[in-house]
Amino acid sequence: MPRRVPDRLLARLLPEQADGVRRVSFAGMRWVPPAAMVAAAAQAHRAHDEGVPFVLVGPTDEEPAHYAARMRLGRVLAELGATHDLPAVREHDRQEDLIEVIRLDSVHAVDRLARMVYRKVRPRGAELAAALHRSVAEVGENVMDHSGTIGYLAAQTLPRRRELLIAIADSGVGVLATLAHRGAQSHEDAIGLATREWVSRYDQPDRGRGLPSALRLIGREQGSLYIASGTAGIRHFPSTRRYSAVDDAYQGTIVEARIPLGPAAAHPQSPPGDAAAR
Amino acid sequence: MPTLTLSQLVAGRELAAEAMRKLGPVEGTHVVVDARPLVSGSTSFAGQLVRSALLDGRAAELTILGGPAEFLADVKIAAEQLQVTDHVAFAPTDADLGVHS
Repeated sequence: MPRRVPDRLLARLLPEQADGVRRVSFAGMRWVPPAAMVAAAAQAHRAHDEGVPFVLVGPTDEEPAHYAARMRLGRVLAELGATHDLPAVREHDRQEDLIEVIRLDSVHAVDRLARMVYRKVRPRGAELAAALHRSVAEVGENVMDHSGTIGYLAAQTLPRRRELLIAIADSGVGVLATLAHRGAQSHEDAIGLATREWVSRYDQPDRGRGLPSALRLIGREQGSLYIASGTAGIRHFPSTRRYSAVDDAYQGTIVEARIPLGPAAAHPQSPPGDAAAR
Repeated sequence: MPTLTLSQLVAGRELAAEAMRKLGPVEGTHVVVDARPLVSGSTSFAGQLVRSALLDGRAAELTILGGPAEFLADVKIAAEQLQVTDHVAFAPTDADLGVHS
């Protein structure tokens, strides 16, 4: 039985509902990873669909708050009718080497964003760019196929840690709901099944290679892939896995790839944090 | 000979099916997929290409011209899973199939 650690990021992304308002809080976060931003956007989307007011409490510190705003999280939330306290930032504050929070709402959008990832990453190597193009396409397609809703994508590089992070989240039915008929009995089971070849919700012999393919490609780049849904999170390293858990279920799925960008890369299991994130 | 020329980057089952549909009816024909421009193609796109051409479209044969090794491997695996390996061929980049590069 693998040891499970508390999933602090997932716990923070569980919306709280009080007085008819759904709220996610980034208060106290010293940096906001793309996984948090896309998950907040996905939850705001769900609240919008359900007609529930949504509030994001931004980071208390100025730097991560500005960063989240530069990633256009505030704009995405505002478009969904949600409220937030992120600062207003000028458009030219955007850096060239990141992808701000963008919605994945069709197969064409997935294709476009996978191409964008390729173009952004290409200067760092053709093989890495191709691996990420394929991985983003597969994960994005999974969102379109299985979640029953739309998703959000964001990416950033961490220059000091020499890491590239790409995250996709949705607030759909989650992995367990799509794979329960394949024998998954828990969220953790379902995530495990989703990364196994030839396991798919569809009864077609050629289905079920998308996510395993993304996992293999990211592992080949010595990166890790985190998949969280419901009460479980699993970070897949090239040769091991780290299991994490929360008490209450996150509604939807979060996928985050972390790719080292060179020989100076930090160990992928190090805790997150990079004040110079851009 | 219906020929589908892939762009540098292709992804998505639906987009593969859409690309095949644009070729029109292919039943009984020899479909050529010119993968020479391809730099990166997703596993799902490769799988759907095989399904759309040979199962849905009932083409007699599917030949992939050129293309990255990983994409060709994905086509081969999909063909095996769909039990149509006898109908799939791989041609080297310089093969003379009458397809202009």
